[in-house]
Amino acid sequence: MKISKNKKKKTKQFSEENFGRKTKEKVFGELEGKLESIFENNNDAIIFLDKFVKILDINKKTTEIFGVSEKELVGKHFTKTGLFTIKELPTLIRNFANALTGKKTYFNISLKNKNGQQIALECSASLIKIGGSIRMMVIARDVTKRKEMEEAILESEGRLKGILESSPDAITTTDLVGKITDCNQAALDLHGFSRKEEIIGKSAFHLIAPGDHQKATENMKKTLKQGYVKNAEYTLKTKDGHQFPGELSASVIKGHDGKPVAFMAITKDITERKQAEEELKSSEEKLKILFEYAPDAYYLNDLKGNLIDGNKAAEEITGYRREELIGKSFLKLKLLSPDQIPRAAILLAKNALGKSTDSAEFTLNRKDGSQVIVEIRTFPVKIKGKIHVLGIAHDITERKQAEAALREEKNKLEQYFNIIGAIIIFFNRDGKIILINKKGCEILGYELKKILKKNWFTDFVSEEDKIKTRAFVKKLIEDKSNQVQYFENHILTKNGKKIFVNWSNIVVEDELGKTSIVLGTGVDITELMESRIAINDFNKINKLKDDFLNIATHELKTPLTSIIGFSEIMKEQKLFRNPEQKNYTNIIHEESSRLAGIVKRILMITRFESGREIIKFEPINLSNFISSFLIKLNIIANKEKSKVIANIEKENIIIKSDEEKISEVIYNFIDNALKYGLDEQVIVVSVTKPNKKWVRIAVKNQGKGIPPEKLDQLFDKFSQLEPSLTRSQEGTGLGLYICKIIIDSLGGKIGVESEPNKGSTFYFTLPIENVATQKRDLDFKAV
Amino acid sequence: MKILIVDNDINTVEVLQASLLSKVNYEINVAYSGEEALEMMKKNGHYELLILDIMMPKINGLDVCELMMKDEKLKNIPVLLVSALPIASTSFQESLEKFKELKLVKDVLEKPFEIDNLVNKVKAIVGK
Repeated sequence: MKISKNKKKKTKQFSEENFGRKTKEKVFGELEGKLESIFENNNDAIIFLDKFVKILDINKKTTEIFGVSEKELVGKHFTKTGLFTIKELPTLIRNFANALTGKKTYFNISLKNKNGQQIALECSASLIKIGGSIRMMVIARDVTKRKEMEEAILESEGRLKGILESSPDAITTTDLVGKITDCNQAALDLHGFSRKEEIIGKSAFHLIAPGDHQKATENMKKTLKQGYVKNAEYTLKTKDGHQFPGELSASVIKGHDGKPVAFMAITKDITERKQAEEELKSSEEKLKILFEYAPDAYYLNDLKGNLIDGNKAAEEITGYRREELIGKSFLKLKLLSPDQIPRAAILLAKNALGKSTDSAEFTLNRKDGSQVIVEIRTFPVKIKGKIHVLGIAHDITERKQAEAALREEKNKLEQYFNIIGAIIIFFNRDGKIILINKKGCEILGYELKKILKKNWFTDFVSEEDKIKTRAFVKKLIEDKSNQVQYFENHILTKNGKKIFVNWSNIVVEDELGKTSIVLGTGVDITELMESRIAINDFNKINKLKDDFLNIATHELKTPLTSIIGFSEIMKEQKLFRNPEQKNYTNIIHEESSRLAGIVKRILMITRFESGREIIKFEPINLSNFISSFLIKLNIIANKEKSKVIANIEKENIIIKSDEEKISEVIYNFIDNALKYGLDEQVIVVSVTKPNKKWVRIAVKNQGKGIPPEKLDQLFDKFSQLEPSLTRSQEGTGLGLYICKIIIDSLGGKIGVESEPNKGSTFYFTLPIENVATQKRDLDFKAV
Repeated sequence: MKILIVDNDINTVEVLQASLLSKVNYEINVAYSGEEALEMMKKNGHYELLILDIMMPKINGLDVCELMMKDEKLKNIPVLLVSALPIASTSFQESLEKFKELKLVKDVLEKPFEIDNLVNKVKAIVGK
């Protein structure tokens, strides 16, 4: 400052000297041009005034600024120029007066120029000596534009401030260490403060959740380095500690010198956006899951048939893993047989034209060589501007198989319809024949075409059955019963033969569900009817046979009763005149008894064979039964000096059977044992239980045994070991046969085990739970 | 002890009578038809046993039983049925069962018979 003052003094002195010592011409000669040029071309208005403030000289700029000509100003007192109004004059007078005292004076003034423009001037006024005269030099700088700019800046600053204040985003300014210097209302709202004073001066870290402080520090460094940080996500904090997701963009505010002086941060609450993002993410996941686990195969391919993606079902259907599918074309994978490729190409061509395709059936070759039948629909989809194809393949193998099975069933049914040995006919209530099967045609003797032109009632039903048939059909249709109704009538065939038909009828609705039609299945029972009659006759004959049997029995037995009875009485009473008489009486008694035995057996066999023998199933305790039976058996055995003993494996075996019949069998076994066994032998009756379901009763004798080749015939009718003419043993050969039919009728099995010279074991088995019981009862009822 | 033997066959009546008398000492009356038997039972008072043949013309043995059941005086006379038909045959089984249940028919003797068998059955019924 001092230096510049000195310089100014020197300049002054220099100019005074020049004006003082040298001649006017000479001085002007050197300087005039230069000064004149400076004066005239100066960017400021320069006005010289005398000490009475009359304008002496002005430069060109002055005329420009004030919008007047030189003439209008030069020589005039400044107050008379008309440039200044009462508003500006006091300022001018005051400052000029000050300048005239010798003080350099600075002032600003604003006024309207001759052109009506408002101008702002920054002025300096000072005294100078020119050629011994004191002059006042006023230099006025037009600062209108600068003022305007300053005002504009102020205005825009204010506007900016307004914007900041009213911004919906929170704006905070901090110093370089993060201390909050200012913030807007949105920032207060965001963090739950009510007044700026609550946060100004505090660290901005107060607004960020502790977990993100480290991140904030790093981002501050980054901001300093690159000038900004955009959209950094933070967990922010409110006054009361509530945390929420936020997004922060920060920039550096630089000072005049271009160095950072502060940070400005714009913060946003992104809770909603985050939620939306989460939702989007989850819905994306949902879509992904839907795609992945869809029951149908979903796949994407390009228009050349190269696979881009596929879901799980696609893997399952093709048998390839996704990695094996992606990037390969269906041609390369040989998914389709060559004959299907043209069809697939058509689908792709449609897709290329932006068209989706309807279900098309393809047979795919799976990786393992097996095949699946699929129904494929395709949809062109745009992904990143490129057309791809979304294919959906539905596995219809099972459906196809079911369809095939159904077809087969239908064929079978049709076959059945035609080959079944019965008439199957559909006709309506008027007797119009709608359909009839092949067998029906055969039975009736006409071709199908001809039958379809005929009427069921008038053309086929025999005269005597017409009324009842019509009545039956009328009732059947009116009842609409869904139960099968049976009916029998006579039908006339083409060759005039009358057949008797048994019908199973049901009412069905026609395809439209409007009319009821009769479905009848008819079996020709003409022959059956004939045999019914025959059976009736047979029953009559049987009855006669029965009667005969009864009479024969009576007629045979009655005389035998007398013969046996009287011969026995004679024996008992010893009414003999001589030994021959006694002998003959004995023979009469024995032979008549034998005859009675034979008659009894033959009659029994006849009854069994005709199913007229009654079997009573009653509980039998086997051990009790055998024990008491043993006494009777020993009476017989003792006569032959033999003995019967019992060997009962288990006590209290209870079976349901016929005690009398079992006795008969055992008696026969014992009788045989005595006849064919050794003298004075021991016969063993054993009862065993080989398993839960059966008991086995066996009679073992001691004797010569039975040759193996004879074993098979033993239980045949009239079978005896020795040829009849040479027989040494008495007997009818009916005993074992009776045993067999008895055991058969009791549901058991009869048999013999024998080795020559080791004796024989005759045995039979019986069911413990007599399953045959009910069946047999039924059989008897049927008879 | 009074017993009535009924059979249309004279020989059978005879053999029954002789057989019994060979073993026991009962008073034995005989009849040769169902009608005669019923008449005798009504006329002669109480019998302790009726030995009755089944197969007889006109009124057979079972008819006799039927009629006895309807008569207060006769329905308590025990009956031993004698039959040429085996007991197991279906023909008379049902009717027989009915009379057995009503305790009229006590037992059945199949023709031809052994004397011991007859005597045992008779003794069992009359209880001596």
